[in-house]
Amino acid sequence: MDDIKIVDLYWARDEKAIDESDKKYGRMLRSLSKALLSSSEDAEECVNDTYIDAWSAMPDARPHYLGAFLSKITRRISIDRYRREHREKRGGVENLLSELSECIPSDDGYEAELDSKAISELLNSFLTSLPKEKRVIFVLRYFYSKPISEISERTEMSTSLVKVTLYRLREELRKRLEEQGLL
Amino acid sequence: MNRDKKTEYLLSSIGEIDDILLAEAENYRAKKKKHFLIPLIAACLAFAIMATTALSLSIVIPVGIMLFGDLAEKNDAEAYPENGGELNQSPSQNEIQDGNNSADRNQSDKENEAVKESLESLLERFSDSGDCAKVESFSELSYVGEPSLVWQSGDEGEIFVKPLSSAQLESVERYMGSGDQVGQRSPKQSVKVWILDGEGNVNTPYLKNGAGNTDVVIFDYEAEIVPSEDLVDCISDILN
Repeated sequence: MDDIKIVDLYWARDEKAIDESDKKYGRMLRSLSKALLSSSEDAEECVNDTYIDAWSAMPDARPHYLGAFLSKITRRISIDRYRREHREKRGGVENLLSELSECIPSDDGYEAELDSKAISELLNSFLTSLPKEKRVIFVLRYFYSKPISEISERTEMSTSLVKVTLYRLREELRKRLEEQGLL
Repeated sequence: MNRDKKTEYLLSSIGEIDDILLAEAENYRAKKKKHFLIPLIAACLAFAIMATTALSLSIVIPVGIMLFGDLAEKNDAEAYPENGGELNQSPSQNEIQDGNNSADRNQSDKENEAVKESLESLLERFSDSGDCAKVESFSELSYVGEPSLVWQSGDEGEIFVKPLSSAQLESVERYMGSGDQVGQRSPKQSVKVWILDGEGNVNTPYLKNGAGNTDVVIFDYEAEIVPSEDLVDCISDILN
């Protein structure tokens, strides 16, 4: 079923919307959540919570890309859950945090801004300025939490090239954040 | 705020990336890389053979003319005494060939124009029939999910959408990207056409197949090729 019809079901308050969403995007959402939490059971719960959130968000929202809309919810719920539970073991979030810390400009005394809207705008403009392949690598790694091996398969690049590309992208993002005085 | 908190803040901000960029990444699959070595060697060999042949001919022909030219002139003088030994001036073989090629080209341009017009009129007729969905803007289209055929009359005209089944998409894609080059004096397209494959990729039958001719949103384009007759027949079957 196409996205428009599934969204129509949400708007009509028809519970089939959840079944159809799960049929079409369930696997992708579980994989996203599991990559962050390293636990299938937790991922399952996060995906179920995603549908409840999506149910509450519509009819106010009318997403054009239902997959992206649901992914955002799953990612947020999974990260919140990770924070709540303070897991000791190194999960996917730990790995991402460790890599992303390289993007944080060094603290040189001034009070950096924490404007979430400005950071989102900077991220979007940073990504759109990149060639498609690099943009995809960044999003797959830091939004979808895909392992390097999977990104390498999808992009037909060697794992070391993917790692080098990600390193350069983090450097570039750090420079942008520094220039704008963000973070 | 310490570095760890800032990193977490950045991680959360990444959650606000544009939906279109997320859809692009989720549906991205690299095109299989082509291996250029064998075609390159074949091209080099072909070039070497052609160069050797041309060089040999450039030596043999002048020598042949030098040796046999005088003899030929003598023979002509004997055979055509009334013309003073000159042959009648008639169009050369190359001139005849050029004329034929030009006529063929014109004929082919006309045929291509007819195919293009038949596709445009088919789509316009179907737009009027009311059997297809109409959207106000391209942002209303669903790029991921069901494949569809999308068309627009003129640059600012209405946008029509006809959902395609997987089988229909497969047949349309089979004939895409292989038409003849658009003629230099071809009029501008009156209807623009796109195919949305349901996996986030957008293509058009008016461009050759290639990574640069595919995008994740509707894009404007200048036609490179004319859709083949097979493709027009295929679309006609789908619409009828």
